[in-house]
Amino acid sequence: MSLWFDQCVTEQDQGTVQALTVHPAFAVGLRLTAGVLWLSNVGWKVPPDFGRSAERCSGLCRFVEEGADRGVLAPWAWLMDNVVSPQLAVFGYLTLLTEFTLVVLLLSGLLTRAAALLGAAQSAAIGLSVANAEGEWYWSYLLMIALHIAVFAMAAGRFYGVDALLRQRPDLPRLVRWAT
Amino acid sequence: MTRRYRAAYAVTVALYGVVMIVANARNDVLSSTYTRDWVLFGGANDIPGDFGRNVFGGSVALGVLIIVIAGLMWQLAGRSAAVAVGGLAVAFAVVLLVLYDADGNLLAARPAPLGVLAAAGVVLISSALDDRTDRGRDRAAR
Repeated sequence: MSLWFDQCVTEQDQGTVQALTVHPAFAVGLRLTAGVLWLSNVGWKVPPDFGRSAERCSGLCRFVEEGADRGVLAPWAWLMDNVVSPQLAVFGYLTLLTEFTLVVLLLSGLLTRAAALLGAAQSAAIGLSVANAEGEWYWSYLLMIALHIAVFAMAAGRFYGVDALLRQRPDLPRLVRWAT
Repeated sequence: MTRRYRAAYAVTVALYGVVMIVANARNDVLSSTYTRDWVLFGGANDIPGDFGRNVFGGSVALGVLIIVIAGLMWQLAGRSAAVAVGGLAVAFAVVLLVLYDADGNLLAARPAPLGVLAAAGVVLISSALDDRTDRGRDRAAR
């Protein structure tokens, strides 16, 4: 991939490519932005019924039903209708736990690259469920995915993050080092 | 963990706690029910109203606890005691998250401030790994 990109840049611009750097403050800013994104949205997944009652369906329940009715892909809509909706409490707790974990990892800068991939996957799952819902703007979810890819690409936990401390350890397992 | 790192973390977390105290000031200090009468974020708009209520939802007591953790980050980061304090912060955040429901919980804690508390705990725990600081070098020498 790198070789392919190198060949797409003229020889006179190779120096510019090599000089491409990101100021640490920019990387930290993106990481914290992603953290606050989840921070400001984790609270409305409210246990134990996650918005479902005998009279109404609101909150997470409503978005699951939107996913079942207007999911972006037919197999995804089937999954929401037949697997997620009947087990709303289980998936509600899973969502709460996933987003809480994202908040902790992204704000502290721990295992940031793994967190960025998890965040991109969660953004994709939300987008596939509700991008076609009324009042939603599908670009929101594409931009959320892009934000997490940028955090991954910059390995943003290595600046003012716990990953910077972890990576000092020479005995760090390879998988953990990759996740930082 | 260098002095600059400690200061950056401690000041950021303390500021978060201060805004939380102000935002929830009209609720009881030790309330277990969620704030309804907000300071700063009472507007019926997405931002700053809804955003602020989601990010800073809690109680005055939880805000004070977060400021105390910020102080401990400044005082203890890089020392071995930071592991125990950080572990307690993470454990307390997880317990409150388990108790979270629509009717309120201990300290009226919503998941957002609990995430901040747990992240501060993680930073405290991991600060003991750092050998670059004066504290770390002293430990390595021993």
